[in-house]
Amino acid sequence: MDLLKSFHSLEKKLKKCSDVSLSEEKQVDMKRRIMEAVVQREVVNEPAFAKLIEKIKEIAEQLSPREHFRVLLKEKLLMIAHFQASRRFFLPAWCRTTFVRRAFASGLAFVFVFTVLFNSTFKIELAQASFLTSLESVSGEVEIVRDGSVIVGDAGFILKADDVIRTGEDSKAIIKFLDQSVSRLDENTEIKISRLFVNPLNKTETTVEVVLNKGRLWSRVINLINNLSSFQVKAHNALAVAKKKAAFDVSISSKGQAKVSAVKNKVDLVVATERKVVETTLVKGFSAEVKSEVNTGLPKVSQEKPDVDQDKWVLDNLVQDQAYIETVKQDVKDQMQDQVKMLPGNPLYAVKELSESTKLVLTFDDFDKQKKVVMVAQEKLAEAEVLLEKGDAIGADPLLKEFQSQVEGVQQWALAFDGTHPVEVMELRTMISSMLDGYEKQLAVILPDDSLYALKTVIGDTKVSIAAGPVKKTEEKLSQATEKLNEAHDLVEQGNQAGAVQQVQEYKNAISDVVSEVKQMPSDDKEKAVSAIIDTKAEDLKSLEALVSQPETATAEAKPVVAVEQLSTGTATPFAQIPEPTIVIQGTSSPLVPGTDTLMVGGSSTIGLITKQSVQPDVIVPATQEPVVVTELGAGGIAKPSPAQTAELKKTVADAKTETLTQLGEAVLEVQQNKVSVPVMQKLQDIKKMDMNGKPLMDITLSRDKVTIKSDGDVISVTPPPVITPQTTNLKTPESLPVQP
Amino acid sequence: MSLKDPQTEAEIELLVVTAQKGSSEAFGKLYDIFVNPIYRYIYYRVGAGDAEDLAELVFLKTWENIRQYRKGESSFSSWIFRIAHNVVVDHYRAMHPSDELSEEIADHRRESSATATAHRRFDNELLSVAMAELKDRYRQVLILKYINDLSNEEIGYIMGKTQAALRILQFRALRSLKKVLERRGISGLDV
Repeated sequence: MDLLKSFHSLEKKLKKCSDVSLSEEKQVDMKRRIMEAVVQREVVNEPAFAKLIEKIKEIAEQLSPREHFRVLLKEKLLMIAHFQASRRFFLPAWCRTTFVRRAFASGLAFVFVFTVLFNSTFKIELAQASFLTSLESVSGEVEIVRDGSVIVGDAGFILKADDVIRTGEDSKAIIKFLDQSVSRLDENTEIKISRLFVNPLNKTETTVEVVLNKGRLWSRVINLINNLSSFQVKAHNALAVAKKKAAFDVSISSKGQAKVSAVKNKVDLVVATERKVVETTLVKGFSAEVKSEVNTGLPKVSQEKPDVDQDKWVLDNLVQDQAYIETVKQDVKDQMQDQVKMLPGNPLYAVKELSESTKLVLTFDDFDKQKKVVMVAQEKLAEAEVLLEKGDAIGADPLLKEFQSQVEGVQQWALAFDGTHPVEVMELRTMISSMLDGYEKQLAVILPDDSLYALKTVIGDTKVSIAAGPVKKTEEKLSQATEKLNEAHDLVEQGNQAGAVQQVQEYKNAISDVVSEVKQMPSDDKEKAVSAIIDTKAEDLKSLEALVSQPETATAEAKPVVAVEQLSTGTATPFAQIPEPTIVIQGTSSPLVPGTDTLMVGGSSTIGLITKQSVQPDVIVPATQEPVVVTELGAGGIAKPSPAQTAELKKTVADAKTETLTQLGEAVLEVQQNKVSVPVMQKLQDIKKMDMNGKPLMDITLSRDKVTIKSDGDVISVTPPPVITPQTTNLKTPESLPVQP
Repeated sequence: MSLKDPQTEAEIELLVVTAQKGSSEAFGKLYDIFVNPIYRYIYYRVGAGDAEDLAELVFLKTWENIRQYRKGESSFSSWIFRIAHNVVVDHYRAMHPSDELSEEIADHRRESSATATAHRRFDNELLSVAMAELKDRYRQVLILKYINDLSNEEIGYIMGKTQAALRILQFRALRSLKKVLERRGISGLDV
C-alpha cells in the first residue's frame, strides 16, 4: 500500500512536469538561433558557395597594382622611411628638404628622359571628381580630343586627364584647374593634360601636369600651400614646376625650341638630356631656352629683354590674372558668408549658442563630440569673416580668439588618447589639419590691405600653436614667415611698394624670432630645426632675389598718355563686369600729364588707359589704396612706383638677404659647436649644388670656428662669440655673433 | 605567400619590430607583402580610379603610425587593414560628406554605374560590377575573407563585429553575391 501511495505521488509529480514547457516566444527564438547555426555550417558545404568562393579567389589573385605604380610608391616610401630613420622625425612634406627635392628631381628626370626617349606618358587618373578642371572660356576654334574623339570645346566643358586641347587660328582658350590655377592657350596651341590629382584626405595637396605640344601657354598659380603640391608644364625635354605662387610662360617656337619665362615669383626648371639632368630656378624676369634635340646643350638662361609682342601677351595675361584673383577672393568671402546662420548681436544668437551646447552634451561618443567642437569653431570663423567684411574688426576679434582656443582645445584633448586610440586620434588630427590647410589655401590670395587679413593671421597662428613639438612649431613658423615674402611679391605686383617693404620687415622679424628660439632648444631638436631652417632659407633667398628682379628695361620708352577713356575716382568699373575685359569704356576724355596728375583706383579694380586709338589698353594701373603718381609709363605698361619707393624696397631686400645668410651661418654654427651633424653637412652639400638663373645659389664653407657663405656677390662670415675668461671680464660680450660682410 | 601561414605571420611580426626601430628596409619588405592585398581590398571597395591613390595613403599612414602598433591588441594584418578601412571610409565621406555612411544601405553611387547587361563570362570585370551592387559591409567581409584570406578573428577586429555575427554576415554576403551573379547569367553550376 505504501508503495502504491508513493507511486501515485510520483505519478502526480511526473504529470506536473509535463506541464513545463518553453513559451512560444522562446521557442521561436531558440529555433532561429539553431537554424542560423545550421545554416552557417551549410556555407562551407554547399557546392555552389564553395565553387563561388574558389572562383572569387582565382579572379582576385590575378589582380595587382601596375608595376610602375608599385615601384614608384616603394621608392617614395623608402625615401620617407630613410629620412625618418636618419633624422628621427617624420617629414610629411617630403619634397621640402633639399636632399629629397634633388632625389625627387632626379627621379623625375629619370621619368622625364624615359618619356622623351620612348615617347610615352604616364596615365594617372583624376582621383577626386568634386575638384573640377574646366574650360573657363573659349574664343574662336577650340577642340578637345578625348579617347580618339574630337569634341568642340565650349565654356564650362569639364576636362579630364589625358584630354588634348587645341586652339586654331585667332583662337584662345582659358582653363581653370582643380587647384585654382589658371592657364591660357594662345592661338595654334595644343596641350595635353597628363595628370590631375587631389589627395582625398587633404584637398590642399594637388598635382597638375600639362604637356605643351605646340604653341604658347601662360600659367598663373595663385595658392599652392602644401609642399607636396605642384603645377607642372612640360615642353619637349624641359619641365617647369611652380610650387607656391607664380606666373610663367612656356612656348615652343616654329623651330621646335622650348622657352620657359618666369614672369612673377619663381619657377623651377628641370631639363633632361641624354647625358645629364639640369635643375635650376628661374626668378621673375629670367627665361631659359631649350633646344629640341635631346643630346645637345644645357638650357640657355638669360634675363628677359623687352619685346613688343611679348609685352602685349604678358600684359594681357597679367591683367586677366588680376581680374581672376579678385573673383577668387570674392568666392572665398561668399563661401564663408554662406556658412553663417546668425551673427552676434542678433537677439536669437544666445539661443543658437545654447542649441550648439546642447548638441555637444548629447553627443555621447567622445571623438564625435570633439569633431562637433571643430565644426562649431568653423562657424565662429565664418561669423568673424562677415563682421570683418562689414568693417567690425572689434566684434570679430573675440570670435577669432574663440576659434583658435577651441581648435587648440581639441588638439590638446586628442594628445591624451594618442596611445590607446591611434586610428581615431589620427582621424581627428587629419580633420583639423585638413580644415586649417583648406582655409590657408583659400586665404592665400588675401593681402595685408584686405579686410580678411585678420582671418589669415589667426589661421597661421592656430597652425603654429597646435603644431606638435618644438621642431614642428619651428617648421610652421618658417612657413608663415615665407608667406610674408609671397605677400610682398603680390604687393609689388599691385604697385604697393610700401606694403611690400613692410612684409619683408615682418619676414625678417619672424625669422629672427625663430632663430632665437632654436638656439634655446636641446641639441637633438636643434639639429632638426636647423635642417628645417636650411631648407627654408635656400628657397627664401630665391624669393628675395625674385622680389627685386626686373626684366631689362634699358631701352624702354615712356608712352605719353594721349587720352583717358575711363578715369576712376574711387569707384572704377571692375574688369570682371566688363564683357570684354581688355576694352576700356565710358568716362570723359581727359589727358593726363606725367609728373603732375595722380590717379586713385578704388576697391579691387584695375583700369586701363588707352594711349592711342587702339582697342587694347596700353597701360594698366593696378588697384592700390594710395594715389599713383603718373611719373613714368614704362614698357610692360605698369605705372611704375617712384624711384624712392623702389630704392627702399631694394635696400630692405638686401638687408633681409644679408640677415638671412647670417642667420643661416649662425644656425649652422650652433649645431657644429656641439657635434658634427651628418644630416646638416649633407644639406649644406646639397645647397652648394642649387642653381638660380643658371648660376650657383650660394656656397657655404665650414671650418672649425667659422662659417663663410657666398651668394650673389655677398660674402658673410660668422664666428662664435669669444669665450669670457676671468682676466677679460672687463670686456663687453657681443650680444650677437659678429658678422663680417 | 598566405598571410595566414604561421611562418609568414612570424616573419611579419619580426619585420614590424625592426621597422618600428626605424629600419626602412624592413618597412620595404612589409610593403612587398601587403601591397597586393591592400590594393585588392581597396580596388574592390572603391574601384580602379582611386585604388592606387588610396593604397598609397594607406602605406604612408602605416609608416607614420607604425610605432603605435602593439602586438597584443591585434595582428599586424588586422591593424593595417583597419587603416585601409578607415581610409576608404574617409574617401566615401569626402566624396559625399552630407550622406550618413550607413552600412545598412547599399552604395547607390556604385549601383548606378553597374551595367544591366547579362555577362556570361565570370571575370574580374563581372566580379567588380557584382561586388559594386552589394551592401558595403557584405562587400567588405567578402573581400577580407575570401580575397585577402584573413581569419574571422582578424576580420572581427577590423569590422568591429563578433565571430558569430561575422559568420552570419559571410553567409548573407555570399548569398547576395550569388543572387547578383544569377541575375547576370552566372548560375552556381557555371562558376
